[in-house]
Amino acid sequence: MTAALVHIHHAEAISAAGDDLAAARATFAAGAQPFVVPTHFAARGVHHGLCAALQPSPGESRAIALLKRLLSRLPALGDDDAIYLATTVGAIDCLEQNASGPTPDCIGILLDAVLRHFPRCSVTLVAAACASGQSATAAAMRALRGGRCRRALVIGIDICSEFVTSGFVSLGAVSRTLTVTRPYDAQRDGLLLGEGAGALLLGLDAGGAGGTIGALLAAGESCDAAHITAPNLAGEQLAALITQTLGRAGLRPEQLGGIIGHGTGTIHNDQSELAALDLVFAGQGACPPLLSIKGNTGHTLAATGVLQIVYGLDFLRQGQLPPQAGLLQPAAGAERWVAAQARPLRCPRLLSLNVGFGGLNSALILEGRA
Amino acid sequence: MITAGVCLTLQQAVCLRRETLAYDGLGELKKLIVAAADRFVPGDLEDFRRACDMVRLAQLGAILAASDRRTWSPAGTALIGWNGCGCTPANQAYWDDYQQHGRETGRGMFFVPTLPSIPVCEAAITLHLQGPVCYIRTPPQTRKLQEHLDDLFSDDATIRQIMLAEIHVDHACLLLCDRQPGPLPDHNDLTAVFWQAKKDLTP
Repeated sequence: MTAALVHIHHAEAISAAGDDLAAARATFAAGAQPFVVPTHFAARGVHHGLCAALQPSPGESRAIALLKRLLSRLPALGDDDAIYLATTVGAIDCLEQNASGPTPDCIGILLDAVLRHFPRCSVTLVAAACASGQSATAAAMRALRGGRCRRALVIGIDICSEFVTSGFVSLGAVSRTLTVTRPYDAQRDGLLLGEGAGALLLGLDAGGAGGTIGALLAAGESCDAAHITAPNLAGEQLAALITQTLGRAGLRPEQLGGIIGHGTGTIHNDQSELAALDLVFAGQGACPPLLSIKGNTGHTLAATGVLQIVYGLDFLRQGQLPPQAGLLQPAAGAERWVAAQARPLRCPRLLSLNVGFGGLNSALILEGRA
Repeated sequence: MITAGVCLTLQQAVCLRRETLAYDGLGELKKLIVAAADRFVPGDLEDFRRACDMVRLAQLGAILAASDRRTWSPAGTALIGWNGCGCTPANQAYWDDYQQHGRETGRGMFFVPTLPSIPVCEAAITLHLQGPVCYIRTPPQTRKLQEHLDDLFSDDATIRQIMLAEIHVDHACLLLCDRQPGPLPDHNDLTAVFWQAKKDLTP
């Protein structure tokens, strides 16, 4: 038996792709890669996907400024609504700016800022590395189905910072070109980081006369339990999770219209993900089109899962996936999945994938509304 | 229902059912566990040497909590990290190291633990737990954690048990809960839950 549909009542996204959905739509359609070198920290020439309209006040945390910008666009919530906040490092710039004194609780600072804006709501912070966005969404879906709240607001947010960039450089994960990232490409050599914030307002009610903008059918999470940073290159655990999640939605693989992959543009992430998809779709003729939004936004860490859903809803409205940004020549085996042109969706359903450090996997299926 | 658990510090591990272990540091606790392999469930401790104490507490605590259960199987086990001190100490350690090394690049061994989910992920790797794994922060009331437990169990029939982990800089508490009814007693942290459960077990 499939679980109750979780309806999406409202969605917002801010990223390098655009300050709003209309701007992002143009960026995706053009396959644009709006990466620039940040000036708010010593980025050493590494390009990032920055939220161009974000202008923190002097001394203000960039994370808090981005959060406020997102919150200003959201509807009011009641005391029977709950909030699920996804972040990996929170207001990490507060640590960077802290010359002395006690270490700031960077994720707590962000959580407190959400509480100040919605003082009547319970707020749960969910951290599952780069799978945090979808993990928080899955927690919100469970809470709604469990009758814990009337509506659930999911927020995914992370910023570009010297802290994170220096860390990813140290791991050899950042593109050696420093300027471009090419998910699923034969010449991919790493990721570019991005910042972003996304929000989804969810509920079990179908929204009355106005309807809703989409629905979440099923979500699943698992752990490779193999290596703290490296994915399972054979993709077995991710493939098993996708199959399980499809089953929970009562769907077969051929009933997916398209896939938004995690697609960081690193050698190993993309290889693992393509291997998983090959396992799930083995023996099937045509595969649904695959896209990574990180070619346009950069890797936005905990925000990416929420952004994938928000932008995915817009792709569903348009009935097509935009071109894969940064793609020159698909990696071996990726030819049947990705393309440098927009492609029609087979049906109004998308699979969205996240993976994260620790071997964390997340799969989620969303459905569009006409 | 709580089926097993452990509260451990850098010198002592008190199990819910089994005997208390005393040691001088987590390196010695690891040696104790490895030397008495027939008394503990097997665990992958490959990352132990380069891990920080919070990760080590999670890894060894997971082995002790699993060993405390009468019969152990990793199948269908989810792991939730809850509250504790999150990633604040690891953030400071990475940032200090990065600054002291001239801001050229960070060091991966310090960067990876800056995510609050890393200790529980390392624990999952240690015991090969492939269920959902994440870190959550809620108000310090176990009834809030109970809601997540109940929702996870009711959402996914393949989950047979959930390991809970509250990890601090120098101590941790890990509890195993199965599907049987029996809510967590209402406390502010898992350590208080552990001691109440231990008291309830004492004849």
